[in-house]
Amino acid sequence: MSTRNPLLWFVAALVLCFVLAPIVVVIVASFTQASVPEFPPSQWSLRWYAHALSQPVFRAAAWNSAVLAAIATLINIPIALMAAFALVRGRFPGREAIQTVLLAPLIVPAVVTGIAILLAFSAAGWRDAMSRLLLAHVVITLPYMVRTIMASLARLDPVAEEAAMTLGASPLRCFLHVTLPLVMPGLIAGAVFAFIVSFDNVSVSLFLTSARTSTLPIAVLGYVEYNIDPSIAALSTLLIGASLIAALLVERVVGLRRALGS
Amino acid sequence: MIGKTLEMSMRIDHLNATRGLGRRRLMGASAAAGAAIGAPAILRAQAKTLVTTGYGGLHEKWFRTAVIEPFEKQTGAKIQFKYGAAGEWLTSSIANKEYPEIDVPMLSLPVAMRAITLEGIFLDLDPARIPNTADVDPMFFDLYRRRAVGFNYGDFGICYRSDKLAAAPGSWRDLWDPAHVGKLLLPDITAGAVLEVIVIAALVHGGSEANLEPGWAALKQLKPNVLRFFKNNTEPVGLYERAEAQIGAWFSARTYAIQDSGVPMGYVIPREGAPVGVLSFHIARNTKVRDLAYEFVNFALSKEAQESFGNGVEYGPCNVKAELKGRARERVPPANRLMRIDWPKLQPQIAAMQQRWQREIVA
Amino acid sequence: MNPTRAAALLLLAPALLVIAIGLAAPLAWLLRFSLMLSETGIPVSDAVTPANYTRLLGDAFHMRVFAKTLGLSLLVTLFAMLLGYPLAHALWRISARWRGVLTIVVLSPLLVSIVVSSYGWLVILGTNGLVNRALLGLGLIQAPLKLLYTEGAIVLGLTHIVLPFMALSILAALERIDPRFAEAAAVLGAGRWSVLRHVTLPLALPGLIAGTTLAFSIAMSAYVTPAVLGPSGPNFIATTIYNEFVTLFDWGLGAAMAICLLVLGLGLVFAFLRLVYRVGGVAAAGRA
Repeated sequence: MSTRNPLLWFVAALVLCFVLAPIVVVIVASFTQASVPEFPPSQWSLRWYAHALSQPVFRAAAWNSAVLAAIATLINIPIALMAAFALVRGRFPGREAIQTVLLAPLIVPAVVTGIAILLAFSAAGWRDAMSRLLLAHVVITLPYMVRTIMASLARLDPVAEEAAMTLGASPLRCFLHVTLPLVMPGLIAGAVFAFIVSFDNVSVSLFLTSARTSTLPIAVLGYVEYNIDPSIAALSTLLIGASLIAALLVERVVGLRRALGS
Repeated sequence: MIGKTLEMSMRIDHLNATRGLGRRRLMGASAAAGAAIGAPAILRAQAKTLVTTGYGGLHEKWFRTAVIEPFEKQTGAKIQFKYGAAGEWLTSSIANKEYPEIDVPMLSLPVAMRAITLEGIFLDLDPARIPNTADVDPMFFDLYRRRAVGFNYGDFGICYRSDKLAAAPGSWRDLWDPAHVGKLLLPDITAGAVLEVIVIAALVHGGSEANLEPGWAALKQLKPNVLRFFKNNTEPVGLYERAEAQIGAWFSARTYAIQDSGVPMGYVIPREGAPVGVLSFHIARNTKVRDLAYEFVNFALSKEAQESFGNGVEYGPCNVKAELKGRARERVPPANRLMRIDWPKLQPQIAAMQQRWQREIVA
Repeated sequence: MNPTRAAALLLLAPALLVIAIGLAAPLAWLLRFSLMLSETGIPVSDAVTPANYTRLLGDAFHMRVFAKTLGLSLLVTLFAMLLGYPLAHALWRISARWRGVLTIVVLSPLLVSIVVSSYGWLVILGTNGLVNRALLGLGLIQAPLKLLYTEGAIVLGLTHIVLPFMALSILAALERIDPRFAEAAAVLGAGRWSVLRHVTLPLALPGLIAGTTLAFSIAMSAYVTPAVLGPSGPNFIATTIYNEFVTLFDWGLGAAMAICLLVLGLGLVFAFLRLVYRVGGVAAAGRA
C-alpha cells in the first residue's frame, strides 16, 4: 500500500526546481552570444565554449585537476579496500572508534584541513607543493571510498566465500577471485565519488595550490575575479556533463543509493 | 577575494632529502605523480625560471608586452606570471620563506608597507645590482627603506558618471554629499587603497596621519552613501556601466578604461590632492635565482620597459627618464603633484586600521 | 573469511597512517601554533600561551561572527528539513523506473562543483538576474532588489548544498520503516496526514536527526558560499579565518578560530549522535 499524497508530490516537484535552478541557469546561459551571462540568451552561440577551451590557464588547470584526482583515487583504492575489509569483517576492540577516525576528514572543516596542512608541512620542511596537495586530496577522499566499500562488503553474502574456502582456496585467492569481484560495484562507485570530490574541491586546495599549477575550480574562481564573461558558464556546463556521465555510470553499475550506503 | 591561491613551488629534488630504497621508491612515485601534474615545469627546467606576480586584465597584457616578453627574449629565461591578490602573495612568502614559491612578488602599497617591516623574508635591495634605480625617483625607493622599489604608480581620485552629476566634484568632501546616497563606491581592503581612504577622510575633516579619529567619525557618517565596498577592481565596472553607482574613489587608469569603452565617465584629482598607489618589486631572500631576479627588476625599471608599460596602461613610470606620450601624458600627473601620505606614521597602525575598517565601516 | 585481529590491524595501518600524517599531525601543529604568539605570521616565541584564545573569546566582533554563523546555519538546517522531507518521500515512493533519474537530480548539487552552483546563483540573484527581471516584468517591484551579497543569499546557497545530504539521510530512515505500520494505521481509520504525523515522521526521526547534524556541520564550516554570495568582509567563521590569515596577517588568531571551529563541529556531531541513539529505538538499531 502506498500513501498517495498529491500535495507532498507537488511540493517535492517545487523543491526539485530549486535544486536544479542554478545548474540549469548555468547551462542555458552558456549558450549566449552576449558578453555577459544571460538567461535566457537573446542570441544563441557556442563562442564561449571555443573561448573557454582555448584558454591555456583552463586547459592546464583541468589537466592538473584530472591527474590529481586520478592519482589520489588510485592511491586510495588499496588503502580503502584493506581498511573497509578490516572494519567490516574484523573483530577487535576499538572498531567503532577507528571507523570514526577514518571518517574524520568529513567532519573537520575543509578550510581548517587546508590551513593545518600548509602551516604544519611548511614548518616541518616538507616543501614539495605537489605532494602536499596530493596528500590533502587523498585524505579528503578516503572516507568516501571507505564508506562505499564498507556498504558493499556488508551486503555481501559470505556463502560464496565459504564455498571457495571449503574447496581449498587460500584466503588470498578467495579474496582476489571471489570477494573482490563481488565488491567491485562498490569500489567503482567509491572511486567515482572520490574522483569527483577531488576534482571539484575548493576549500582544501585554496591554501595548497601551486604557482606553476592550479586546480580547475581555483582557476575558475580566480578568473571570475577579473572577467564576468560566460566562458565560466561554458566550462561549468562541460563539467556538469562530465559529472552526469560519471553519475549515470555509477547508477547503471551499482545503483547510486546502494552505493551511498543507504 | 574568492578562491585565491597561495603559491608553492614544485621541487622535484625533494627526492634528495630521503634515504633508503623503500622510501626512495615511495618518494619517487610521489615525485613522479608530482611530475605528471607539473609536466611543463620539467620541460622548462633547462631554462631558468622566475616566478613573479601581477594583476589581470590590462595590467597583465602590458606587463607581458613591455617586460616579460622582451626579457625572456633577451635572457632566455622563463617568467611565470601568477594572478591573485597582494595579501595572498605575502602570505605565501611568509609561509614558504625557506623555499619561496614566488621569487619576485609585486605588491600593492599597503601590503608592501607591511612587507618591509618583516625580517628574513625579503632581500634588502642592493642598488649596485639594480643600476636603473639611479634613474628612479627617490620617492619610490626610499619609501620602502630600499627593501623594495616602485615599478609604476597610479593616482587615486574621484571618478563619476559625468551624465548623472550636475557638476564635476572638486573636493574629497563631495563624496559626503547627501545627493549620492546609495550611489557611492569605495574599495574594500582586498581592492587596495582603503588606508588611503581613511587618511583622506581624516585629512579633510581636520585630522592627520597621527590623528585619524576625525576620519573614522566622518567615514561612519558616509556609510549610507555607500552602495558597495568592492573587493576587486572588476566589480565597479558593471556598476558604473549600469549607473547603479554614480560616484566613487578609484584609480585613474581604471576609470579611463571604462570611459574608453563608451561609458560617460569623468575623473578628477580633487583640490586636496590624490594619493599615489604604487606597485613595487620585492625579492625573496631565499630565492634560488637571485641573479636573475636582480636582472629582471633592473630590466623592468629600464627606460624602454617603463615607457612601454606606462604608455600602454596609462600609469606613471617610476623611472624619471621615461617619457609618456600623447594621451598617457595627459592622463598621468607627475609624481610630485600627488598627495604624499606619511607612511612611516601609518605603519604601526596598519593592522589596527584594517581591523577597525572591517568592524566599524564595512560591517 | 574473516581476518585475525592482527591481520585486521595490519590492513588498517595504511589508512590510519594517511589520517595520522595528513590530518592528525597537521591539526596538532595548528593547535600548537594557536598557543604561540606570532607577528605577521611568524612565531615570536616558543612559549605556550592562551593569549590568542583570550583575545578571541573576549572580542565582541568575532563572537558575533560565531553567533551569526550558528544562527544562519540553524536556519539553513530548518529549511533543509522542510524541503528535504518531500524529496525523501518522493524518492521513497517513486517507481523503480524513475528512481535513478530522481536520485541523480537530488544529488546534483553534490555532483556539480560548488563553483558552478555559486556562479549559477550569481546569475539568478543579480540586479539583472532572473529573479529581478521576473519581478520587474510582473510589475511587483519598481526597482531591482538587492538579493546578492546578503545573508539571505548565503542561506539560499547553503540550503541548496545541504539538501541532498538531508534528503538522503531522511530517505535512509524512511526505508527502514516497516510499511505495515502505515497500513495498520490506515486500516484503523487514520487519514493520510494523520499517518504522516503519527507514524511516518516519528519513525523517520533518527534519519532526520542524522541529516540535521550533517547539514548543520556543513553549513557551519562553509567557506565558498559565504565568500561568493555573502556581504563583504568576514561574514561566516570560515571566511573570517581566511581573512585573518590573508588580509590581516593575524595567524595566531586565525589558528585559534580554526581550532574553535573544529571543536564546535566535533562537539555538535557527537552530541547529535548520542541523541540519535537515544531517540532511535527500533528504527536506529541494526544500522551499518
